[in-house]
This record gives sequence, structure tokens and C-alpha cells, in this order.
Amino acid sequence: MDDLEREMQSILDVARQAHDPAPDAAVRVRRALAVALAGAGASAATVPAAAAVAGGGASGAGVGGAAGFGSASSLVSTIKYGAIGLLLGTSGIGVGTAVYSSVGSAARPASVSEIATTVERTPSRESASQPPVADEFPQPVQEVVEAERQARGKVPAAADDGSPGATAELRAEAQALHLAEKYLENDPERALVQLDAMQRAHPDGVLTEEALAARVFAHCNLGQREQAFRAADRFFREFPRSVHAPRVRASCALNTGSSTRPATAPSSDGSHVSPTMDE
Amino acid sequence: MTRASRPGGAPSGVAGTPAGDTLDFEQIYRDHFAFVWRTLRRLGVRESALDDAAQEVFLVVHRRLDDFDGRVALRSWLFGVAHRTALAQRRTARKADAEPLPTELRARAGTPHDRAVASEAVEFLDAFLDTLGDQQRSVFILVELEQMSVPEIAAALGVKLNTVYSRLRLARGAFRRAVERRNRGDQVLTDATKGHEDG
Repeated sequence: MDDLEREMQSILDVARQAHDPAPDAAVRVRRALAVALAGAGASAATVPAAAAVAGGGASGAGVGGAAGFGSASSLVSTIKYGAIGLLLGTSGIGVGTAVYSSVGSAARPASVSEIATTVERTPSRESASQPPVADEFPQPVQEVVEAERQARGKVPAAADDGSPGATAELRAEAQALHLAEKYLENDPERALVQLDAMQRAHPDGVLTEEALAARVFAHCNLGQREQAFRAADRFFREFPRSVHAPRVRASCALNTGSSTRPATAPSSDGSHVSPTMDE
Repeated sequence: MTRASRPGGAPSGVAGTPAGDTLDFEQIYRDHFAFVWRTLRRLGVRESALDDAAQEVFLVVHRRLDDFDGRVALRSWLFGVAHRTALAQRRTARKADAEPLPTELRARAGTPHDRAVASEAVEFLDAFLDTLGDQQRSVFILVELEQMSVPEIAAALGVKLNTVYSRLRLARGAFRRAVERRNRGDQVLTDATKGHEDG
């Protein structure tokens, strides 16, 4: 075997290990598949059951994003919208820009992203009455992380029903993200520490999408373009149709001419975006 | 050789169905999701379309599981489904506006500073695969990356053994030239051999 052959083999050896799906991809696709297979007339009860199968050992918040067509979705929506407002520093810009078909359409199976988006963005009536959550927790990092740990410990794996445990986890996750957002502008390194803690505490969290985007911005704010690029790569792998995608694209990660510091301090009303503003 | 047992009844919904139906499909999904995902990626499905493409593959698998008779290995059958899905997806993608991300990522990854060797190798291989025609690409992926046997691949693709060997020889030659070009500092994509197929 000559040097060139060895080099070829080396490339192939590396490539054989590459291209595997991200850890949550199987769950994400399975969730959408369950809905598609359940068909238009499926009862809502089928979907959470299937999602629970798909979720396996995933934490409650992650599964709850899909399963909570009813109760939990309102809080998820509220938190997600709050997070969107935080990240964009606006009142939900871009939330309504994508047009998604109904999950219930029998004409064709809903796509993964359609389902995820519908579930996560679909407002419910009671959403409006939910108090804003993202602005309520200006706590120190350790306190927040500890709160997350505690909340996580109390939440059963399949708690996606709006129970106090699930609610506590969602709130704790929102707290963690909010704290990271606060540090993005003036102390991005600390924001990254906070995002790491958030990821450890909520590996399948509802706000993973926002956290991954925030990570890109934090690296940009630190002038770490290579790390920002890697973070953006992961972000787009996991959330290719995210409402934050334009912002991430415009960041230093993919725009070499950009000195974007996208995640500036959230606007005062950014964390109070109404879940009904998606149209 | 992996062989899926046939479900006892007609394909049905995943949840709330008899265990026999559910288990087979669930087992296939669990065991082969990563393979399907990798295959779709290597066949050129864009990142943003992978979720939907993988879903489509397993919808077909669920629908056609009754028809799977075990004459080819399960992975070969899955590859066939993924292959058709990837081709359809790529046709659709060509019609739609080109999505800027993969190009941006590739261009960014191609910049010289601070690249990890592993990611560079993967980027290089991705770029190389894009230069291959579909037939050589499939054979190259199955032999060199998935390390399937040539008879398995012949069965999967519905072609003769010699055809697989021929495509493999051509693809390996192209790969060798691509590595040589890379070592000379050439750009693989500017010296593409795409479209050169053995039919």
C-alpha cells in the first residue's frame, strides 16, 4: 500500500464514523412519523403515546413539546415565544414568516419541521393568561443551575402534561436561557458557561433551539468565528427551519464580513411576546 | 444477513397497535435509523431536508414492510428506499431555490485556518461524492463507507456483479485522482468528473 492508498484509507476511515445523526434526530423524526402514521383522523391521544415511544428516555420537556397538543403546549408556547423575543430583541419577528400546513391534513404527511413548529407555535386560548416567565428570574448562575437540577430530579421522564413537575422544568429552563441572554452582550464567556449548564440540565429541553442560537451569538461576541461556525453547523443540523436561522446566518459564523453582535440586550417587551402573534 | 420478520397483519399505526406489528417496525427503526440517515446524507440530501427525507423513507418502509420478502438483506432494501427518496428529494431541491447554507458551510469549512483534520476529511469526501454520478456514488458509499459486500450491493441495486465491480473501479479511480489533486492543492470541485458513468 503506497502513501496515497494510506491517505485514501485514512479519509475513508474518518468518513465512516461521520454523517451519523445527532442524538435527538431519531426521536424528532419518530415523533413526526408517529403523527403522519396516525393520519388525519387520529385522536390526539395517539400522538402523545407515539411520542412517548419515540422519546424513550428523553426528558419530559423535550417530549412534551410534541405531546402537549393540549395542556402543556400553552406554557411551552409562552416560553418559546418569550425566548424568541429575547433572541431577536423584538416582538417575535419572523415567527409568522413561514407557512405551515396543518398537522391534521390528510393530503400528505406533515413534515417533521411542520409538526414541530405547529406544536411549538400553536397558541392555545389559555396561553394569553399565562404569566410571562422569562423575565422573572434574575438569579445567580449557581442558583439557577441548582434549581434546574432540582426541577429535573422531580420531573418524571414522561411528564408532559402541564403538571407542576413539567412546569417547573420548563420554567427552570427558561430561567437558564434568560440568564445566558443577559450575559451575551457584556460577558459572553459567562453566557457560554450558563448555556453549558443549561444543556447539561436540559439535554432535550424545549428551548434547545434558542440555546444553540445563543451559543453562536456568544462565540461571535467573543470573536471566536471558528467556534461560532461549529455552533451554527450544529444549530442548522438540528433546527434547519428555525425562526432564528436568518439571524444565525447573518452572524459572524457564516458571514465573514459580519461583525454582528446579534443578541443584544432584549427589549423590554421581548420576553412578553404574546403567543398569539404568529400570524 | 439481517432479515426483518414480516408483521403479522396489515401495516398499522405505530402507537396502540398489536405488539407484533409495532415491534417489527420499531426494531427496524431503532436498528437502522442511523444507516438511513447516513445514506441520505451521503447521497446528497441537504441538511435541511434530512428530517423529512428520513421520515419519508420510514413511511415507505412502514407501508411496504409486508412486501419485504427477505430476498435481499434488509439494509440493501433500506438503501434502495433511501436511494429513491434521495433522488426524488434532490430533484425537488433543484427545482426549488437553492438553499444557501450547505454552500456557505462548505465554503467556510474550506477556508484554511484552523480546520480539524477529521472535519476536513469529511468535507473533502462530501465534495468528492458530489462529483460522482449517482451510480458510482451508490456503489462507492456502500462498499467503502458501509462496507457491504459486492453481492449484497448487486442485489440491492438490481445489477450484475460485474457492473458493481466496474462502477467501483471507476469510483475508486476518481477518488484516487481527487486525493492526488488535493495533495497538489487543486480544488476537487473544479475538476469534477460528474456525469461520467458506466451506464
